[in-house]
Amino acid sequence: MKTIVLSSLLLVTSLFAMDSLEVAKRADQVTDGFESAVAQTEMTLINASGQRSVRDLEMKTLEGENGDKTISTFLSPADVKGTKTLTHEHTERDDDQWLYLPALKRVKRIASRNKSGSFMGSEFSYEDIGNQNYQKFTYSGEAQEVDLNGIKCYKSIRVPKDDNSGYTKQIMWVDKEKFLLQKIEYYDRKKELLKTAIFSDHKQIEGVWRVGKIIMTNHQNDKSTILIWKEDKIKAGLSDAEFNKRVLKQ
Amino acid sequence: MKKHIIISTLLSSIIVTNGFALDYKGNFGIEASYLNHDEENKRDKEGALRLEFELQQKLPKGKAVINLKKVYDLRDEERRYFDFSDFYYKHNFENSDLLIGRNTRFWGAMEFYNHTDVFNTKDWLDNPFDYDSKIGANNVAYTHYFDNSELSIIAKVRESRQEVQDSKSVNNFYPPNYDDDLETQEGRDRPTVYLKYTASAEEMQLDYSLIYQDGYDEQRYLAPVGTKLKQHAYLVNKIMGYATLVQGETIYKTELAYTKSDDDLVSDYAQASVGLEHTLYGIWDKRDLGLLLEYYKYKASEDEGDRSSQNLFNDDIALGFRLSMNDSASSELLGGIAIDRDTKEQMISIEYNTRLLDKYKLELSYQHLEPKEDSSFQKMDRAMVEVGYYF
Repeated sequence: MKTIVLSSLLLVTSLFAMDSLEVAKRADQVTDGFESAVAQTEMTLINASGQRSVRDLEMKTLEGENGDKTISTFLSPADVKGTKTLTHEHTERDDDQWLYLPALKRVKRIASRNKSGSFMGSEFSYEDIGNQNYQKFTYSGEAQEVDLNGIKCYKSIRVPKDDNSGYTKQIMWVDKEKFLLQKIEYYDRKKELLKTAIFSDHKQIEGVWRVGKIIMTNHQNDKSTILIWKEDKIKAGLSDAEFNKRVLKQ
Repeated sequence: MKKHIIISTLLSSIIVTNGFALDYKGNFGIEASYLNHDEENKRDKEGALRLEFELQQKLPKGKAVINLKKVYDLRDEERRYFDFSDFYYKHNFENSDLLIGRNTRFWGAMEFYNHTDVFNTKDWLDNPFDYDSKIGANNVAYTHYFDNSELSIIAKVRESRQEVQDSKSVNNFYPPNYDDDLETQEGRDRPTVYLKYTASAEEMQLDYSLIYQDGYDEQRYLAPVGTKLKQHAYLVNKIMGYATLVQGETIYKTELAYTKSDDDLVSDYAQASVGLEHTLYGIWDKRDLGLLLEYYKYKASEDEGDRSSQNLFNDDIALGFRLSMNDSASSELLGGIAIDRDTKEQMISIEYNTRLLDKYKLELSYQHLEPKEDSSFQKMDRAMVEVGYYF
């Protein structure tokens, strides 16, 4: 009898608990299916004394099975206007990445292992901006059920598979209802808390959930960056040809 | 006057086009230099105002681009000029495009100097040590695009004259009887044709280009015509190639060129350069440090005497660094030294640039030139400040 009660209790617990990997998969699924996207973004850099500096960026993305293709065009500040980066992500090898410098008319291939480097001088790194596919991480155990500012969430730990990642682990909060990412804590190579990202202003466009705002706070230098999607069009009808190297010079 | 009327007409015709995005950008700046040298009758201070303005009109099947550079030197009247580095229309077809007009192009892989960047004539009215400062070239270009490659055929017409700064400028290396009228082997309108193939490898991070050229060489020689000394443009057949390969955090580069001369006074010659750039990411907080090592070789099939010595990168090693601060001002510190292995001629360059208040850019630079004994260049130190307003 005692054994039956214990077994029943374990069964009930497992019905409500969720595997960390499963949470990550579900969180990925709700943002998948955008096919291609064109977004106008605004990035505000805030230094330790509160001074602000704004950058504008157009990002075009093509969803792919073996990695996304992204072309980013800098619209401001004026001295870098027209500078573009093209990234072809690969799951099995280093990404292909090119930089176009309009003043020199030069397309330059660049090393893509710089995962932890700062993106545009912001608190976002290249790996924060890139595709967050759940397969890029390893997970263990069950997700904890926690409350985050009144939102019921799954809290789980993921570890980047990429040896060039700037992080040893990330703790993520995903809301239980819609499986939307709410918060990530990033731990550096010394295993110390480096940054926290807060995700908000989620909206559902044509059945796909998109984030509208990310606030990234660096706890080690007291700087922060706010990334806002001013316009976001998905299923934009972009084709592979629009992510060819030739597009950089156009 | 005629030039101004053409510009105004074209500008207004672009501006009145309705319904398609008209985009512009540019900068207005001031540059001031202090020069330390031993030459008599040469200035030791220079200053100029600069304007660069780009206007781009997107059209249903293409785009029109105008890029104007205007320099007004405060002391040198020869250096009060403007040039359209771009003035073209590009029509897009499904898998190809056709460009008609005037433009600049960049061909090459190296950082210090590019043997294969031969399409445009260098602008010596601007800083002659800035190899990226070029005169726009008139051309018609057709490019066909494949999945991972492209093939271009380009016909360049009207060879550009190379004007120089006045005789009191240390950037004028020529004798006083230099005349910028260009002598050519078969007339200035004889086209120079380029066939260029560019591709990216599928399974490795490799980009490469192959170019065949028939027409006037980018290099020229000086020879007397009456009492004047003039540049002579000669015909060549040239085969060139350049490639970039990324492996991990290192970029390997090479440029190769072989030139067969059609002029009795110029022998055939070959050029080669190899180099690498290795980047250390995230050092000193989040700064990136790029380290550069490049080697250049120039070899003529016959002894060219003085002409060979005019070639700046004939047996040179270049070492350099690029420190990106990754701050909100996109600050960068660049430094390099190029040494001729044979003559020990040296050029040292240090440059710092940063953004101020989002709209302004400050650039500080220092150059030191240590020429060999019989060089037409003189020993010189130059410190320069440039401030630009960007819009």
